[in-house]
Order: sequence, then structure tokens, then C-alpha cells
Amino acid sequence: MNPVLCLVCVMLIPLAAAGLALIHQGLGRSRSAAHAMLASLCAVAISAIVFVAIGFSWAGFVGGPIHSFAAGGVRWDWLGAAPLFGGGIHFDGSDAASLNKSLVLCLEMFAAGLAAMIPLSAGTDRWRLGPICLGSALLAGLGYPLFVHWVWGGGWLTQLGANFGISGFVDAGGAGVIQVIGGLMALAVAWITGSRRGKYADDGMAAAIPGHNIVLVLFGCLLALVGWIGLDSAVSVLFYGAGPQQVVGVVINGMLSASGGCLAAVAITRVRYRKPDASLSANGWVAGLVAGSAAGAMVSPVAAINTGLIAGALVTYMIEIFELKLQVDDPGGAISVHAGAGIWGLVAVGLFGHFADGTRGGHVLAQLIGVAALLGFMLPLLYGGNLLLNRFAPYRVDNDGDWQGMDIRELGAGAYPEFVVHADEFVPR
Amino acid sequence: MRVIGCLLLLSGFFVVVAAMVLMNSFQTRMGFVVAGGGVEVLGLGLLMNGYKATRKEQR
Repeated sequence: MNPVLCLVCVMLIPLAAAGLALIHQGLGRSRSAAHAMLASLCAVAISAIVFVAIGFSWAGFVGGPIHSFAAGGVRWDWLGAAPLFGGGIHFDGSDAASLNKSLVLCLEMFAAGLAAMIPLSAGTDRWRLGPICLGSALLAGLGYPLFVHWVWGGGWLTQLGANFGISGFVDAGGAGVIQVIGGLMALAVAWITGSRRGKYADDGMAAAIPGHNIVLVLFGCLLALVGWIGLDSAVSVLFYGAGPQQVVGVVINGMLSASGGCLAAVAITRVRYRKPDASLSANGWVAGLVAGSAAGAMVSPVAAINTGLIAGALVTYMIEIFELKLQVDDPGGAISVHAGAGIWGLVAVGLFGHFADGTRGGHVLAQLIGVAALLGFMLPLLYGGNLLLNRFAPYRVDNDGDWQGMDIRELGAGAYPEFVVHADEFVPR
Repeated sequence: MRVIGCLLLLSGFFVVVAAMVLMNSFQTRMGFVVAGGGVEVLGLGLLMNGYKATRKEQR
């Protein structure tokens, strides 16, 4: 492992968070813009503290202390048991093994912040700040570390090969660990907070509530690219033993996958609506980044383009299905972009990946088991946890707050004090 | 409906895990994993319908 290369890659990750924050606030309404940015900061801050305090203990690291049980003649490694508050890691250079552990902690801390930011997009314009902090703590302290341990901490999903003779589950950039977990949390938040007032008519017909600043959204996409490349590279170096040559492959594949996703969305919206849709194309770009992050350098550039193309196409349809058919109000499309494209990316690794060992069928099977764990275990866990939190601290702002905007309601001042007129203020309530 | 949906999601997951422990051949494992995934999709569908039904009641 090249520690300098890894550290440089890790330090790029906050740019992904900056990009996501811009995308989220740009796709929301102007009256909640400051709230959206502050919520992003709070989510990152809370998740960093909670992850270092508790989460890293449960996430653990390969070769570290674990909680396990025996069933069916197999030892199931399901939870880490490292000391709380990153105990046992020395930052003074006295312990060579600590360097690897500290890099893992640093990467996973930033990634926890990224995962915690994803649900903000689904709760835009109605999720209160206090419950956002509680939800972020739940994610960084329970859901995320659990799956991190299963995949990056030497848990049962990585041991599928050793225990059952198939192949280990692969997630070389956090498509499952970060994106799908965040996307499933977004689904739970969207279910709990319900839709924005005025989004659906009495007959269930959806009204379009366009994002207020598409320029920021598109700038956020470019910023996210840099952060994503750093994230994918750091994960590949730390957990999959990638060297500088493979990192170049990760960077190229990341760019190609994002390009494929964006162009697919541009082409599909051009054909369907006669003009390309900027916000859906931005979502296609991020979907390409998400789907491509599952594979890193384990697929060829052609496969990375195909993965991105399919992710971009998938997302344009999924966003419509969630909004129109399932009546889930997800202003930023987080569920489709992060959960939908993430799941596709995980399956695509099994289908297109080139591996040194194991059969193609074994890899597909391992990836399907990982997806089943995400949907079958993590979704009920996150949904149940959020329902419980919602009982103590109601997630949704009241109806007046919905009209007023989260900026005035929760922060007492708007993001754009010079633009005070909203079109729907003239609509009789 | 939502409780049953969550229980179906968990059931699907345990079908998948059980397939790994109880089955030996690749084909049967794959079959059970796909079946477990199908149970999860049913659970997800119930959760979605539960949400839509709640929204209708609220209107």
C-alpha cells in the first residue's frame, strides 16, 4: 500500500461532499437554500463525530477484533469490536500498523459524511434540522458501520469465498457501502416526511417544483467528479491493494462512467421531451459516478462506459416512476441516483469485472447476495430506526413552515434576502 | 401493510443466507438467492403500497 498516494486520494473526498451539497441545495427551492447547506454541514459534522466515537469501533478493520457467531458450520463475522474513539491508533508514528488503520479511519469518516448527506436530498424543503442531526447520527453510528464491516472490515460478505467456495462481495468505491446505504436512508426519510405541500393534487397528479439554481447543480457535478475519483482511488488502494497503475484505471473508469451516465440522460430527455433536461442530466452524471464506483479498475473502459450508460438511462426512468407512480417526493432524485444506480453498479461488477480468481457465476452470485443484504436487512433497519426517531423528534416541519420555507422557519433569515417574492405566495391558501 | 413489508424484506434476506448454508450446488444456490430477492421485491412493493395508501387516507 502506498500511503502518500492513499492520503492524497482521501483528502479529495470532501470535494464530493461539497459537490453533493451544491446539487442538493440547487435542486431544492430558494426559500430553503440556506437550510439545505447548513443541513449538509451539520450532517457531515455529526456523522464525523459519531463515526469516530462509536461507528469505527463497529466497522473495525481487517485482522482487528470482531464479534462473531457460529451457524451452519461457518463462523459469521458480523460486527467489529475495535476500541471506541479510535483507541489503539497512534498518530505519532511509533506504530507502523497504525498508519494503515488511521488511513482506514480517515477514509471511512469522510465516507460516513457523504452517506449522511444523501438523504438530505430526499427530505429537502421539509426535514427539520434537529431530526437531520439525529438521522445522521443513526446512519453514522449504526447502519453505515455495520455494512462497512461486512464489506471493508473483513466481515461475512467478503468471506463468502472462503466460507462457501464462491467469491467475496466486491465494492471497490463504496457504491453499496456509501451510496446504496445513503439512498435507502433517503427512501425511509421520503416515506416518513411525506411529500411537500402542493406537490400532489387531490387526484394524485404531481406538480413540477423545479430546482432554484441549476448552475450550482451542474457545478456541483464537476466538483463531485474530483471527490469521487479520490474516493474510488482511496478505497481501491486501501481495501483492494491497488497500486498507482490501477489508480489510473480507476480515474479513467470513473470519468467514463460519469460521461456515459450524463450522455444517456441527455439523449433520453432530448428524445422524450424534445430538449435535454439539465437536472435529469446532472442526475445521470452522478448516477454514472455512483454505478462506476462499484468496480474501480476491475472493469475495462468499455464496460465502464456501458455501466454509466445503463445507470444514466435507468435513473431518468426511475425518477419518473418514483415521482408519478409511487408518489414519493424526492426533490433531488437521491433514491434513484444513489440506491438505484448503486445497486446496478454492484451487479455490473459481477457481470463485467475481470478477476484473478473465481468464476463469473460465483461473482454474480456474491454481488446478488450483497444486494439482498442491503435491501433485506439494511432497509428495514434504517426505516425502523428512522420511524423510532420520528416518534421522539418529528421529522417533518408543520404546514406553515412548508409554505414559509425552511430558511425563515428554522434559521430566521433567507438565503437570498433580496429575492423575497415567491410565485405561490399569490396563490390563496 | 408496512410491518408485513418489512418482515418480507427480512424473510427474503434470510432465504438468501439459508441458501448459502444449506445448498451446495451453484444452480440451487443461485435459484434460492433469486427467490429470496423475489421475496424482498414483494416486501418492497408492500411498503410502497402501504405508503400510497397512507397518503390517500391523509387526503
